[in-house]
Amino acid sequence: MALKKACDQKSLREATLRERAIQFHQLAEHFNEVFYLYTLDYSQLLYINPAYETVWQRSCQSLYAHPLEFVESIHPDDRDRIEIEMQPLIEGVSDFRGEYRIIRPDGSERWIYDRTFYIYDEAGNPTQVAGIATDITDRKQAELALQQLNTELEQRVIERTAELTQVNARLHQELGERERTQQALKASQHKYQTLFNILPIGISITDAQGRLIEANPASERILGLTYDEQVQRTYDAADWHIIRMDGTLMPAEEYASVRALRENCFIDDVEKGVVQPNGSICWISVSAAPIPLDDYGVVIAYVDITDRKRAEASLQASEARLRFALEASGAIAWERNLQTDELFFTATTTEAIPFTLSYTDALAQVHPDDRDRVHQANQVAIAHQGSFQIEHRIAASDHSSGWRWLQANARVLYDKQGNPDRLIGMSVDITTLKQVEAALQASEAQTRAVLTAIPDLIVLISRDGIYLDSIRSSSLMDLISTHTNPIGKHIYELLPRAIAERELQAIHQALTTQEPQIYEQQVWIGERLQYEEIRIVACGDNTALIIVRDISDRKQAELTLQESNRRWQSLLDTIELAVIELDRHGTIEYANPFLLNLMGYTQSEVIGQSWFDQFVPSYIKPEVIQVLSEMLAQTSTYVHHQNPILTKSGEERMIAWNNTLLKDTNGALIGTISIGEDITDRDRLEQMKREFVSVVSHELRTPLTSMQAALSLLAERIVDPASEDGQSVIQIAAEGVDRLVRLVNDILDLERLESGKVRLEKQTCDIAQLMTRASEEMHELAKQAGITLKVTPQTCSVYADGDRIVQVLINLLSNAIKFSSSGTVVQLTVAQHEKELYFTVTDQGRGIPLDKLDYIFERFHQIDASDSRAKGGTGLGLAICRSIVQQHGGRIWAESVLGAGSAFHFTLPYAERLSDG
Amino acid sequence: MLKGYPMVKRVLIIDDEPGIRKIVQISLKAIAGWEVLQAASGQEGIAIAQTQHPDAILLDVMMPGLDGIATFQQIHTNLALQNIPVILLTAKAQPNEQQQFAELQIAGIITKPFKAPDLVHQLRQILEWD
Repeated sequence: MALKKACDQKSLREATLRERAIQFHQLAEHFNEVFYLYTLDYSQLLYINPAYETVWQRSCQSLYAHPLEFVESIHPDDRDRIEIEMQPLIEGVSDFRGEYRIIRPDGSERWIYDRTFYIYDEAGNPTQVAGIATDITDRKQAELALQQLNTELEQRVIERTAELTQVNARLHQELGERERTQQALKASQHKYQTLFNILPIGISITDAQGRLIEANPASERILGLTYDEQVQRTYDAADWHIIRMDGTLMPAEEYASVRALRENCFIDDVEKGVVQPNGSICWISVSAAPIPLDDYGVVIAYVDITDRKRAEASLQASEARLRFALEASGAIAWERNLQTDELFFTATTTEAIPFTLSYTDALAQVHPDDRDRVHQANQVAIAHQGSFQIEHRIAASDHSSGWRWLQANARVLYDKQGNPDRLIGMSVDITTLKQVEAALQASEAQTRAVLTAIPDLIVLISRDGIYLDSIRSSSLMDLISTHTNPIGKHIYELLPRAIAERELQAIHQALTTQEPQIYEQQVWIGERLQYEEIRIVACGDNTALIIVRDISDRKQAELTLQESNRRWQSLLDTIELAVIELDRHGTIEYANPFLLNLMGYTQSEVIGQSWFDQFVPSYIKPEVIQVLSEMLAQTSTYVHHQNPILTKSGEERMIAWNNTLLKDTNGALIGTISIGEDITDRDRLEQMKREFVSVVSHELRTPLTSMQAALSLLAERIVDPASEDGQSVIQIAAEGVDRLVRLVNDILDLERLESGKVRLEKQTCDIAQLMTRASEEMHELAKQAGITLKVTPQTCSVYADGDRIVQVLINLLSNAIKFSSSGTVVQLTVAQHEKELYFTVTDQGRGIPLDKLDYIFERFHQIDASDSRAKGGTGLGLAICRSIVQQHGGRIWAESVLGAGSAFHFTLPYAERLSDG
Repeated sequence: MLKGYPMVKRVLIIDDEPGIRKIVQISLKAIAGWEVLQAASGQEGIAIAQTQHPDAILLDVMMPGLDGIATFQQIHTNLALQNIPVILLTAKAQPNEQQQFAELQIAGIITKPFKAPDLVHQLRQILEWD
């Protein structure tokens, strides 16, 4: 049983083992990794799975046949290392785990991970060597790539690190530099600000529009404007008053600042003047540069050059003066070297160049006439150790202007041994001086000749009255003729005391005041009274010139002229004629008192005024201007014309002018003078006369026409007197005769009344009676006209010519009746006033126009001529009435309302009657 | 108007004096056989001239209202009347008075007073009436 059991157990174990071996085999056969099993000494391969063929690309059979083929396939480079690494396994210390390469039959390499271990028996002794080899080529390649990548990365890290280190170092450096820069900037800013503030140069900084951004304190002083005031102005504002160096106004487009900004370039050194608000000018030199920054425009720097300008001007003036002095003097310095006998000339003028000449050549330039003298002077100076001064001529440098006069001053200089060494000199051009001298001499001679020729007596006299010299005049020497030579004599010995005293007094006055003393005196020379003009002129401090001129003729002419002027003035002042003097343009130069009085102006109101504009009515102005123009052009024969003038009150006066041309002493036309007669009244009378004659002529000719025509018809037997036409003709002629008779009677009556040839038969009359008489006379006429005549007689007395009063009443009543319509009333009333009787004749006729009322009492001034004639009037009735009333000391007038009627009034005074008693 | 049978000349006298008008009428009729139309004023004369169209007008100068000059000017500016010859009759015989007529385009002037045959003679001359 036990055996069985043991057999069973053994069988069971063996079965298990087999099953396991089968399982292992199956597993190994499908295992992707190479599984091998060797004997301990590798002499025999116990097992290799098929994966070997896949990995090693060799057959398992071949390995079984050559068990060491496995080892031989290991890469030669790895064999030694594997041998060492396998040492612990061989020694039984530990398993082997290692990696190596194998070389396949095709030569390709594969990486293998090998784990080799011993298989032990139950007793713990090793029996076999087993191993598992895994193809790790892919992993190895990945590892290698990774390793390469890692290496690269590491390299890059190293490189990056190096870079970073470098950058860091640079950054550190930069930071340091920046800090230093900032420090420097701060310092610079501080320096700049300090400079900006303390620089004597004005600095202004503007934006792109020229508005001030910044300005330093110097700018305030130079521009004369505070910063705040400057801010108010743009750089080209019209407020700036900038002038050029020549003083003209500088336009803004010329400003350095404006140009710098406009042309975008640096503008340097523009000189100009800034007129400060207080009016003073600051001269500046301006430079401007654009600022290439967004918010900036231009920086302007300006230096105050006022002082420099002043100094320059002063220097220029000084230089000019110096140059002028040298050039004007025409001086030349020279030095004659006695050893070389050369002359070295140094010009003093700036243009001239120094030069050297031999003494001989220099002497050749001297005028032949002066040459010996010049040489002589040189020789004498050298020989006698001295100097010389000489005037000589020398050829002019341009050889065209002849000879120049020079004045040479020279001095000899000696060497240490005391021998003459050099001659130094200075020659001055005295040509002009010589010319002036010559001219002066000529002038003196001329003056003397002129003085001798003029008819004045000229005496040079001392302060105390001694005659020093005289230029004799033929006529005036008469006065001192008794003294053949007055020189050295005292004025008292030569002239009458009074005249001498007056002259002495004037001499003192002239010497004291240095003003010429002029007066006139009269001197009897024999029988002749001579007028003299004495002119005393100071001649130095102690002598005077007395110039005595015979002015008798002039004086006589003056007196004559004065007298003539007085007469003319008197005539112009008193003449009853207008006198007016006009210049060529019609401006009043003179108007005499008569004309002024006539016009109502004063002298000052008319002188200088235009005659045509102010004193001639405008409607006649062109005509008057033409008269003057034609006269001045001397084309007109007009010397007479008449025109109205305007008075101050606006009234016109008619003046008849006689015009004459006015010439000056050279015969040049200077205007006109006109003498005029005021013919206004005469003109008016003429006009009235013409009108009167015209009316009278008409009034006479009208009846005469009827008469002559009618009578000619009868006389020529053109019409039969017995015929109807004949009767009409006779009737017309008769009416004409009647009218003419009435007219002649009225004219004569009026003439007699007005000339006082009719003596009024005055007596005390009863007014009632007179009124009744007139009323009765008019009764029939009124009745025929269908007019009611109302007369209210009043009993009172008046001292008058009764018949004439009745004539007046009849005239007024007949007029009233004739000019009234049928059915109206004509009334005659009388009223007693305080001092007079008041008669009134009223009608209800058509009335009289107002403008005629003033004239109806004039001769032939009827309201309507035909009316009067148609009513049998002569045109003289009212004129006769007026004359009669006036002869009685009364008044007559008319009042009227057109269309309503008229009232004729006249008065007779009581006074006359009472006084006549 | 028939050829060979001239119409009787008709003259208009404008004068405010009835005596003058009458004597002119008798004279012209008796001596020349002319017919005379009469007007006592300028206005009346113009009215008659417009209706009657006389062959000539004798015009007094010194008349009330419209005087001779004013009347002439109205005739002269009237298209219907301006061709009628106008002779002024005037008592104004002074040279200065006659001067004012010089500028008027009148046919002629006859001065008052006049004899009847002379009046006709002068009219014939002025008007060139045979």
